[in-house]
Amino acid sequence: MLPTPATQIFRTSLTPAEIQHAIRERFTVSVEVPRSSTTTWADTFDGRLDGAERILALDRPQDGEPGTLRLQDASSGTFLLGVPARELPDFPEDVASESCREVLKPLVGIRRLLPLATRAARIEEVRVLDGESKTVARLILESGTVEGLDGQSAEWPTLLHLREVRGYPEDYRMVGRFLEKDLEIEPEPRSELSLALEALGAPDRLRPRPKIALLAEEEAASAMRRLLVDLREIVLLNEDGVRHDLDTEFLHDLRVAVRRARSLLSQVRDVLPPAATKDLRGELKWIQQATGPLRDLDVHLLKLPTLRRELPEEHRRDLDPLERYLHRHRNDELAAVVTALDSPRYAAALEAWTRLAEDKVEEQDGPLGREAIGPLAARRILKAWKRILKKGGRIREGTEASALHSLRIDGKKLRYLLELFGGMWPTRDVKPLVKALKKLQDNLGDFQDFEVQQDKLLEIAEGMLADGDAPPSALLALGRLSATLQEGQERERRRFAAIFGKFTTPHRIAAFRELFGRPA
Amino acid sequence: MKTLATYSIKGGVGKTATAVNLAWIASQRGQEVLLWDLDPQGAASWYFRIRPEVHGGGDKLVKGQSDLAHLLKGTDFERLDLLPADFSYRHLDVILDGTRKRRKRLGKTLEPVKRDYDLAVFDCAPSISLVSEAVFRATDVLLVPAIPTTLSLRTVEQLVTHLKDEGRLKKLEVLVTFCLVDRRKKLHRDIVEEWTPPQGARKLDTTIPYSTWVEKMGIERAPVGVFAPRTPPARAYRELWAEVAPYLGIATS
Repeated sequence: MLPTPATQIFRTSLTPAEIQHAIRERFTVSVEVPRSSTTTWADTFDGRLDGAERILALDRPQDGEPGTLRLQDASSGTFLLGVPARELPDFPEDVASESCREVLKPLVGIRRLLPLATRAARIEEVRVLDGESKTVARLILESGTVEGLDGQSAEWPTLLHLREVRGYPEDYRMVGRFLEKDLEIEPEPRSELSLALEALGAPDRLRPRPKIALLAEEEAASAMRRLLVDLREIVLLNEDGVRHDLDTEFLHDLRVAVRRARSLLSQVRDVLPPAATKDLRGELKWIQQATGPLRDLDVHLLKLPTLRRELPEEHRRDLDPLERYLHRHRNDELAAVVTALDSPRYAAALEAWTRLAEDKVEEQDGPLGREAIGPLAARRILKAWKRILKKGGRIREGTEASALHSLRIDGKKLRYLLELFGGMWPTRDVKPLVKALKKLQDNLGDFQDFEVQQDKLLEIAEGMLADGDAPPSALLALGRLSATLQEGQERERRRFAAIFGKFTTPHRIAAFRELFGRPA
Repeated sequence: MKTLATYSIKGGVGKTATAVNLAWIASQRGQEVLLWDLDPQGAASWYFRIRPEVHGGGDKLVKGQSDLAHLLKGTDFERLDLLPADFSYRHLDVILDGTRKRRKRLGKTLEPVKRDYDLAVFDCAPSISLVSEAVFRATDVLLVPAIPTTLSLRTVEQLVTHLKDEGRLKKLEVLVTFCLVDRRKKLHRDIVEEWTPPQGARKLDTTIPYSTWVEKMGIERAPVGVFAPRTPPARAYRELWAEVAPYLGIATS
């Protein structure tokens, strides 16, 4: 791969006119007609591009001409991609350029690209020329305002972009030296996007959410409340994304937060006020149930390409009626979820969550409320883990599937406990145990999924028939898929013994006991 | 990376103007383009204001001994880079003759950057030689500009016969486009209308008119579309790109 031409940003209080005057004294330049341009930066809701040190922006000239979609390395500023575009894509699939899609897709996954901020700038380009009047370096002067999504705006500092022209590195360095030494202009280490977010008062907008750090000696009631506050925040943050159906991860993240809250309240009992806890658990269960069908449909649609690939190529289009069915019903379920989120019951549930988390219920905390969270969590973790050992140890070749499903639920409980409380122990000790548990969970999860999917396919086939959109070829395709899923389920079942064996080696068991048997 | 070469046995038919303008248009349409000025006279390099010199000369370049990345020059236009001409290219035949797999050398020279560009355009020197053989081998589409005169078309026919004899036509798309067309001349009009290309070649519908605007490229030192975008030759080059691009597998919508 060719190295991309270098680029550097300088920040200055000099005006563009002053800078131009100074540059003309030293170099032969050509100044382009000033133009206006807007730049909109975008990232996923969870800042995946930022996490990968990438910046995505759409530059649009004011004259209505097509703009450029660019992707840059956030720290060096080097351009990785630049393609013509009129709009910011919602998803990588929306980009016309294949090479661009191939770069964006792994970074962004299934998340939607959301605009973060827009800058309206006056751009003056100064081209530094050689003896043939060839451009050997570019200086782009920018000034203007930046606007956030909720309408706040701020002044944009004058920035200088120095851009190398490929094949002229020495000229680039010379201009850079002139700016720093002669004009005493400082290089700006931060990216434009960071500057934009800072100007808008939201410098941490893309930072990952900090994990709640619990202290082992903290009172259990206080620790649990802090966790509940955090989980509720996550639900609130994701609600709008669900309502507007921006992408499927908003609902997923909302449900994960609700599930964790439920798990917390049901597994660590006698800490918070019992009646309020019980009521909230009931309401959280309702939220899970109200959002379940939509999530199921999302998962089916996400898995559909994989399912298609299970079929011989000439039969893949036979699943088109399935896709139509899923989309039709998804629209209905989405409407139902939005109704649920807008309902008084939901508002009341969140209100109850707030009161419990902020210690505003009239009931007293439970008998274990004042205990230290470290030892309490350790006991719960050990208990959950022992249950897995016991139940899993009883599973033999001929044991019914329900035993594995039940073990999976036990595994989930342990997993949530480790996610919520594992931070109190050294990462290097907890990580291998979580990893081993994940392997077991993956096996049990796949086993369950294969079964559930088979049931679902039958249900879907019946639904398609009821809707009057069930050609024989589609039904046959579903039948084929069902057989493939059955094979998959049997395969996972056969793998269980070995995987469970690896989870329960003497070394593993000793490690667990050692870690959670001692104080955090 | 697709490859397009503008080639003619005769000089002065509009090869370089065609290469320069098509390369520029393709880059404007979003393609990453590399133009290789293979003509030791360096006309394409001149148009882009780039000195016709390659460090280490043509010798090191085609032997793969140069760091190609450091030889490429960005033009004044986005997404369009140039591998400049060098006077040593006048010996390129001799240089190639001394290498192994000499006909494959040219294609191999660009191997390190084939993922960085969507399109490579070769602006070839007018000759039949080892260099042109190497170009025929390395390229997907051979664009042959021809003036609508009997002599010019005779050389086109000779070229196609030669390519057929060498077995090149199986893998090479040969497209003939009329350049320097003067519609006031009946001979030109008749030939453009009536000439049938020999088997193995195609005649493109687009013709490039004779125009002072194209000659002005030498003064403006830029593609016509930059300084005279609404003129007939600028429009004609855009149409030519739209006609050629599908043969390269490049979408133009």
